[in-house]
Amino acid sequence: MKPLPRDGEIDASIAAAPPLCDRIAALFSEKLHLEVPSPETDLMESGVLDSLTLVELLFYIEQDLGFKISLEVVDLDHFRSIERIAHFLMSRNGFHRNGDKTT
Amino acid sequence: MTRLLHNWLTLNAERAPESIAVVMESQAITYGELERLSNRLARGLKDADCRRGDRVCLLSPKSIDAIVAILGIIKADCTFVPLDPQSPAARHRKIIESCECRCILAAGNTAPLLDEIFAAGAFDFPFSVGSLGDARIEGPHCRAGFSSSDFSTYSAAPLEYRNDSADPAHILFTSGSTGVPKGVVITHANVIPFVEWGKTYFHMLPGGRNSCHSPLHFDLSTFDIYGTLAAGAELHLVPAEANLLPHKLADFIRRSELTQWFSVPSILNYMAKFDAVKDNDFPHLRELLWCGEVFPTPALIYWMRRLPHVRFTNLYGPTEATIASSYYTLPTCPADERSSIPIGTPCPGESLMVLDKNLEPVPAGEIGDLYIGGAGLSPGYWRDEEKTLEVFVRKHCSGDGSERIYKTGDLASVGEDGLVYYVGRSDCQIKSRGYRIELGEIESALHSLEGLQECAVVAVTLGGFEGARICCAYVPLSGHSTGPLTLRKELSRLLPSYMLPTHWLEFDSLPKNANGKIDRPKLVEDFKNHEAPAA
Repeated sequence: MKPLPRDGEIDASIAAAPPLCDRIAALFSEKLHLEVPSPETDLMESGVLDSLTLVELLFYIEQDLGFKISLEVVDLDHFRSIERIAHFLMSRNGFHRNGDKTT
Repeated sequence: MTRLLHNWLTLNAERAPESIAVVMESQAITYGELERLSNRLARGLKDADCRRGDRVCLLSPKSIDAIVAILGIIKADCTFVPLDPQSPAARHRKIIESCECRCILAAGNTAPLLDEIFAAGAFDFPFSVGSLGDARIEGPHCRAGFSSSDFSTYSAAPLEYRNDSADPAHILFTSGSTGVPKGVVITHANVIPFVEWGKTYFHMLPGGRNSCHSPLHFDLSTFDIYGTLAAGAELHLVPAEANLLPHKLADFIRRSELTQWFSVPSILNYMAKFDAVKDNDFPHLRELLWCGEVFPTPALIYWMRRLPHVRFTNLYGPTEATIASSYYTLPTCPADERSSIPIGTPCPGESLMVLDKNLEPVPAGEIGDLYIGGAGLSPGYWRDEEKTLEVFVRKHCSGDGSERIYKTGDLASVGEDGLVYYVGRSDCQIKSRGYRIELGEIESALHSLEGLQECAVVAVTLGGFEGARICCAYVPLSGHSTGPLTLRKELSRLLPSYMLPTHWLEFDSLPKNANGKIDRPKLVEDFKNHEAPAA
């Protein structure tokens, strides 16, 4: 699994959120039994994420992390790596909390 | 009647060379181009010492280049063997060794996998590696000796074919219960009658837009490709990533203005579960076909209510009998969510028989073993006479004759309506997301890992969209600490991801029945009782 190129926008917001990355990584290892080498690992290229895993991941994100994400609003780019998932969740959370987009 | 599968391409390339043949996202290729490129590739393969009957493996995701390659391979009088890029190197080695291929054609993005395949050691037969398109494959253990673009100056004129319709067109490797994938040999003559029938029955015409959803190592793609080429229609390759998001897939069907959809039911069920289909959606769609496993009736009702303009057809048939052997078109939307949808009646040239142990028909309403006979029947498993004779048997007919029939391993009954109904399996084969999986192959891979005292794999149906879930019960060897994370990771080096267990339970010892065998029904109950996430 090769790392995805980091982009500036992701770096900036994720720098403050390693705990979220860790918690998402824990969902992968403890709930989905999937080892993801690093937060930047490309989940799509290696076929780690299939439809079943994606649906289960969304379930655990809601149950364990408290973020409700409808499959309809998911763009695969948001789920390409643990880092991007964290970024996506933070932007969604900002939207719900403040009633305005934070990104 | 057509003699060889690629004859349809040649005919339609002469009839309408400028018509679109294959579409992949923003790229497209015409019938004329497809004909010329595949002719050149066939000549290139012959130059690379590929002779009549030689196996040529294709390691590539679905792409226009991959379609060109399949046609080039069979035009070179060779046998096409698809390798699934999602499978691990160890499984590919088994297939490459088994089929003793003369050549591997590989897409550029499979270079790391190809290198891993070769890193495990050399093969004891000579073969070459070629890359598709302009890609150069140069790894520490494997480098491509040629690329398909090297043949751009070769003649694009039609070739002389030495193959006959009884020669193999492809070998599809499916899950084998002993841990070694088995190769189902499919001849040109196996495929042609179904395609000819399907083209007429599904009103496939020039200009039609058909889906190509199944991966190339799955035999549904045989009908996608050759059905489309026979009709002079357009083949729209569904990007693999669209499968993850039901709304994106619905969008793809809308944007591509597909007229025909063919897939395993699990993806249709997935779209239904997440309500991705609108009322009167997909206005161009005329035919919707599924095959490979049971389409749950509630999801079928969901689809039929939303798409009253579409005809819905259930196809049934294992790889050994080529694409499908029976069909059932729903006359109306089922009224009852609990009603079972029949697998129907045999396609022309095929026969379906529900028989007892003495190969005599069972009375209507009773359950028996389902056998198939007819034109689609494979000559057998690649270089495995024992397995072939086990399931391809002869049944005496009235008079002196006998008919060769295939024991599917499926249980079925004939209803009062004369239609055949699928009941279940008589062995440990399961279907998960349309993939045909032998639980024995997973157990065999688990047994090869260190640190396990006992293990068993069972399939559990929890009512999710994906069909059966693969569950693994295990007992660590004393003194060893292992867990799902480690086991899954090690298993992923041996098995494709769709075969990996998703649910795991650790035991002190596995439950046994009165005969001392692992109590599998008890394990199924244990997994059901264990808290399962709602999908």
